[in-house]
Amino acid sequence: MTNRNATNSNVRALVRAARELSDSVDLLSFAEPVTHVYNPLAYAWKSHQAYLGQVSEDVKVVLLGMNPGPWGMAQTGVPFGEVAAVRDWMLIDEPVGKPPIEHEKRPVEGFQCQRSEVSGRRLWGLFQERFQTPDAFFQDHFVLNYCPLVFMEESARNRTPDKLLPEERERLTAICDAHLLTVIRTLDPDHLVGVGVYAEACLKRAVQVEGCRANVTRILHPSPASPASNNDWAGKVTKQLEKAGVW
Amino acid sequence: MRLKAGHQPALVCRLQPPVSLLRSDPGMRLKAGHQPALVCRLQPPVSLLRSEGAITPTCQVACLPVRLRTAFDHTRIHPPREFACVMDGITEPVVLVLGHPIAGNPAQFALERAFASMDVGWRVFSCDVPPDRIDEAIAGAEVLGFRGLLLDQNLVTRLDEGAERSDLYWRGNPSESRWHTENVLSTWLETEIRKHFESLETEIGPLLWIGTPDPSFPSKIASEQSHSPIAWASTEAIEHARLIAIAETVDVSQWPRCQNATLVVDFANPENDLDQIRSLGYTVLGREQARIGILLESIQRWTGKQPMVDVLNEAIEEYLAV
Repeated sequence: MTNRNATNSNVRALVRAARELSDSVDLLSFAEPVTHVYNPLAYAWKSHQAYLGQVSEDVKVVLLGMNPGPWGMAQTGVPFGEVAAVRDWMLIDEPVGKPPIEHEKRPVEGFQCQRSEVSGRRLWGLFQERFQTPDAFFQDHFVLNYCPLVFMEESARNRTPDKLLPEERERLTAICDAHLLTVIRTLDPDHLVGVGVYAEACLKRAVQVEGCRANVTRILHPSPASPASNNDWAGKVTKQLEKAGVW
Repeated sequence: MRLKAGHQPALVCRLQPPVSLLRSDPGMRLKAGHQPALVCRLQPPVSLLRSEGAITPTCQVACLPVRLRTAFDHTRIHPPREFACVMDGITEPVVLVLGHPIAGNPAQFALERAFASMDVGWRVFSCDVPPDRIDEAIAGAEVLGFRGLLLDQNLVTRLDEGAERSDLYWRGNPSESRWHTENVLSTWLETEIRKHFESLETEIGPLLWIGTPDPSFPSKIASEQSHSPIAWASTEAIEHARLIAIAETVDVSQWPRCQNATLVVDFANPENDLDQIRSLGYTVLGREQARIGILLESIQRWTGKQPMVDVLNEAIEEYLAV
């Protein structure tokens, strides 16, 4: 696929913003019950950078997720990055390192990871079915996560950013909001789509601050943990996007 | 691995080394296109991971005797080898999971993990069956010789005569033509409730129901019952109860702190904020514990063996990415 990074100012701006985001969140600390924090922007930077290299100069739709899943972006550095979708469809296959402190039940194996994340498979599967090629998808669309960090408890259970302690959440939100604003200013899309309620709220907050022209909408989160998404998620989301005028 | 599986037993597989091939072992026979005929014994379950209505081209195979669990992917084949795999007389016990929807249901994934961890060669199929055809599906599965069947809770509906449909079906031994049936959610709940009150050395109850009582709940074991039909109960009622069953979304911020080691069972959909309830000092059984409990009871009935709870827990967490 075409890598647009040589001449595309959006790519350069997003890479710069992602580096700043990664450096900033690395300075944060989190108390128990969080025991392990992964930052895939750091240890999977090469593949994240390769992913950012796909952004076009004229993005019309930005989709936003909450934070990386343990078997998706935590492995590949790509939002909702189910291994097969990233490697075989986007053709991104870069070396992935390790987080400084790894949980034995959530090993980072990069593109060797044999586990498949349902959310990523559904999301990228829908785009693959509709657009056929990554070039066609990335011509108008881009997918990001609000928060780049994965939080785990001692048992390896995932802890989502909304469940962090208030003061931790506040510091994280300040950094992630700033990054989101940078992305919105840079890409200036027509539509901002929250993948799930949390991401939609982040977008609404950002748009209020920014006074941005983009229309904010929401799609059903593809996680199998959400009962509504287990019955024709792709069909429901297609209708949601058509109704919102995104597709 | 590329699977062109109509259904078992024919599979067309592409294998990525390393794979242990035992020329002399009975079991799965692999006939290679351009390779000499190879015979290899594969340890079931061969996991077919479903995507939205279709089988994805991913398959996990564990090879004996090295017990090496190896996952294959069709895009990473060096060099490519195609094999036609044909079952060779082995008929492993197969259980069926029915749901509506079945997509996103972690039962098959967790059961396969559990069977593998117990070193038993059972297989699992999952199917989506609408509620109005569930009787046909159950009867068909019985005729087809499935060793067991588990209904997702959304298919555990009331029967015409008012009783609740069982959620678990099994045969005591393979030759039995008819299934035994049981509501294992109810069994599991009763066991957990009894354990809780035995540890306190008190009788069970008083029970407070908030919302419409769920028929799976073993209400009769409680010494005393009261019922609040709306999603609210007074502070006094909550403080008086030692066992609370919730079927509605409740405002936990209005609840008093727990004083009497009260057990709360949450049936609400969506689930209430169980962390918040726990933070008030209550012991809580929620949907996740029930899911594990149902699988534990099911495996025990089917195989007569008990898997490790951790195996089920981890499989479900992995599947749901939680």
